[in-house]
Amino acid sequence: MELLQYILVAVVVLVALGWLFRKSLFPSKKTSGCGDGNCGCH
Amino acid sequence: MGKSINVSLIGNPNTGKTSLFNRLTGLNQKVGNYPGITVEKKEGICKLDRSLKAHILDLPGTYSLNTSSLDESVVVETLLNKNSKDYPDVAVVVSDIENLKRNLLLFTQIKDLEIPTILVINMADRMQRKAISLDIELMEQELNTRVVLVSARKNIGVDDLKKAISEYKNLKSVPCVNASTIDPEYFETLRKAYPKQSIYKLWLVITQDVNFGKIDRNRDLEDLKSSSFAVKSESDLKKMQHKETVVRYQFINSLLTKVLNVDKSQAKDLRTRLDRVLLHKVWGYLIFFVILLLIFQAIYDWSTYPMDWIDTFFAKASSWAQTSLPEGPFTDLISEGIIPGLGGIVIFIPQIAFLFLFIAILEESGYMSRVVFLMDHIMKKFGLSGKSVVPLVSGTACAIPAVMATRNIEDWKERLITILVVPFTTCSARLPVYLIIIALVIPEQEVWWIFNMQGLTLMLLYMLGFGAAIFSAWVLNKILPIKRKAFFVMEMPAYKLPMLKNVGITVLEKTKSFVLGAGKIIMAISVILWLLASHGIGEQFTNAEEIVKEQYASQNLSEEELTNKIASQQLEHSFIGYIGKGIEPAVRPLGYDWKIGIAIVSSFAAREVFVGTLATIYSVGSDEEETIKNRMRAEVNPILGGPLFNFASGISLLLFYAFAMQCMSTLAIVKRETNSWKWPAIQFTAMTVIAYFAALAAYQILK
Repeated sequence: MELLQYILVAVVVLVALGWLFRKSLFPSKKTSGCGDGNCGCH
Repeated sequence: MGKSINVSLIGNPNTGKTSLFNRLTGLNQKVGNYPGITVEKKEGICKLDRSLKAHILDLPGTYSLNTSSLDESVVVETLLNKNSKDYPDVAVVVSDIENLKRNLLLFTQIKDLEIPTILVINMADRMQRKAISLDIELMEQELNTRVVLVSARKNIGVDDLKKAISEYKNLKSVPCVNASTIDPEYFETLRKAYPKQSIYKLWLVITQDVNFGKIDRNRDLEDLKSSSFAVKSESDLKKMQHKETVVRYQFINSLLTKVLNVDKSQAKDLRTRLDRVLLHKVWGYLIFFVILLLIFQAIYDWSTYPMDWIDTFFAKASSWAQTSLPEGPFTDLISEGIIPGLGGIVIFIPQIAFLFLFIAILEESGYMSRVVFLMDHIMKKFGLSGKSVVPLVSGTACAIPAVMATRNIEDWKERLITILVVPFTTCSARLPVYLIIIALVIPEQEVWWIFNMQGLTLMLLYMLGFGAAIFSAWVLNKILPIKRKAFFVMEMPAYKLPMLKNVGITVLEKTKSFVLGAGKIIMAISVILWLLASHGIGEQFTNAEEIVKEQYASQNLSEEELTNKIASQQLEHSFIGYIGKGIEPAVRPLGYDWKIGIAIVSSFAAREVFVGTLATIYSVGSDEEETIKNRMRAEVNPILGGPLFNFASGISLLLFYAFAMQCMSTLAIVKRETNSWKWPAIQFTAMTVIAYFAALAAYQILK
């Protein structure tokens, strides 16, 4: 049971790290987002 | 049977176009006082004289010919397609006397299509009440067109308009703005390739592909899409469109300076009366200050009730998970990482909802434009917008809704500067740190019989935060290589009661945007911080319980005291503990030890965590301020001896927290709002460097 819990923790932490890594290194390419002054959100 | 001509009624939404259509055709169309009432073509017949009838087409409202929606594209399609049965012999552009500047943009575009055009200035019955005078003759000369004053509502000037339409053959089909100045070389090539076509029509065909795409147009223009003229990149074409708008507004500004005069002192309408008070040099600022106070109160005070409920709910959920789920690391992750992480997201919702409720009401009512008018000239000196005042003030409650509130700042540079400097303002999360340090190192004595030294220090810290924000804005304005928009068109909208639905949608959208955007980042960082704080390597961590029990075996500690000592031992030897110890050489010159180092690292999650972390490290086991304060007071500097929290190290800590970007949620929302990690990274680095050197200087001078 404890092994399963460790596996689940490892999965969650890896997903969190992987997601942050992907977010920072490969940001989404949508041009309509904020940051270009022409994003239509302000 | 007499001759029939096509007349298109074109104009911005809400200019009274449909009312005029009803006057001309006698049809009973639905008329509403909100933009977008006309969503499709409406047709009717108007008898101009015995031999001439007009087939009147009421086209959907549009702000310009650079359209992006289906109903707006109907207008462009009609005006570009000469083969269409609806192609107008006369275009009647309807404008509103109170919004001439905005309305004339569309007029100049239609005029440049070389279609015979009449400019109708509607709601002319308001001119006297609003003390507006217009030199019609000069306007006709400057615009090369017929100008007719009309009040569709009161049936004034409609016969003059019918007469002007019937004399359509006298109308000049010459452009009024030379749009080709935005890129003479490009337009010259275009002119040479299609000498028979209207140059502006060609330009619109090319740009419509960028704006909208599938528009039915003349066959002879179809090849443009595949020709070399369309090869300019989408962003280049967009830039050219922006330049075109600038050129048009320059023309309109220059025209209105000559022909339009508004003597506000003579105006008698409610809007002008309200403006006289709300834009007054003294009352205007006073009223704005009271409104800001109300917003501040809502975010700071009213939201504490739902925030407390959320806090209690998540604390109970965490405790339930800990006791009900099978023991193990995953249960710890759920109860100490995921649930508190979720709580850390949801807890901001009341503040965000309150702030945007007020902002939406201010925007909807028309008051926000007055705020910009009031504050713009002051804030512009520091590179900020008049609208930056709302984020800066709400930042004193919390930087997260404040950063989101920058969305209504139109200019990107002003918006970015506001986003970057808002975290300097003293948010409520700094208060627990300030209060405990001030109580430790500032004597509780009266100053000039009325003031208290500790209170004055707190006030100075608030002023310091605001001053740092303004000064940084000024510096950023000088160094950021971003061009500001070359023009700024500001129109005061009419006052109106906010629509509940619109306000609700705004609040819902902003909350959703925070939860789904920044929330995910906060959650991921919470999981990682949990891992760092609750895991470690080595015997000191894994055998913490045995070590502590052995160490304190002779002291007969209670179970609670023992649990606190174990938690302290584990935190000290956790990954975050090693990081805290690792940064000790860097923080020692600021007057801190490794324990404060750990508290600084862990308070990256949120500043207020600083106090809780110290409570764990000092094995206090309680967040009660007095207990922690007493423990901190007793702490001895391991190197110099004497109290660790003295005047020098206390001021150093206060300055560190005043300037440092110790808030992952703010960084997450800055990432979300700027769509890049670049700006939060720059913000974090710059604020940490400033905080470090301010704290260093303070400690080295005062020690």
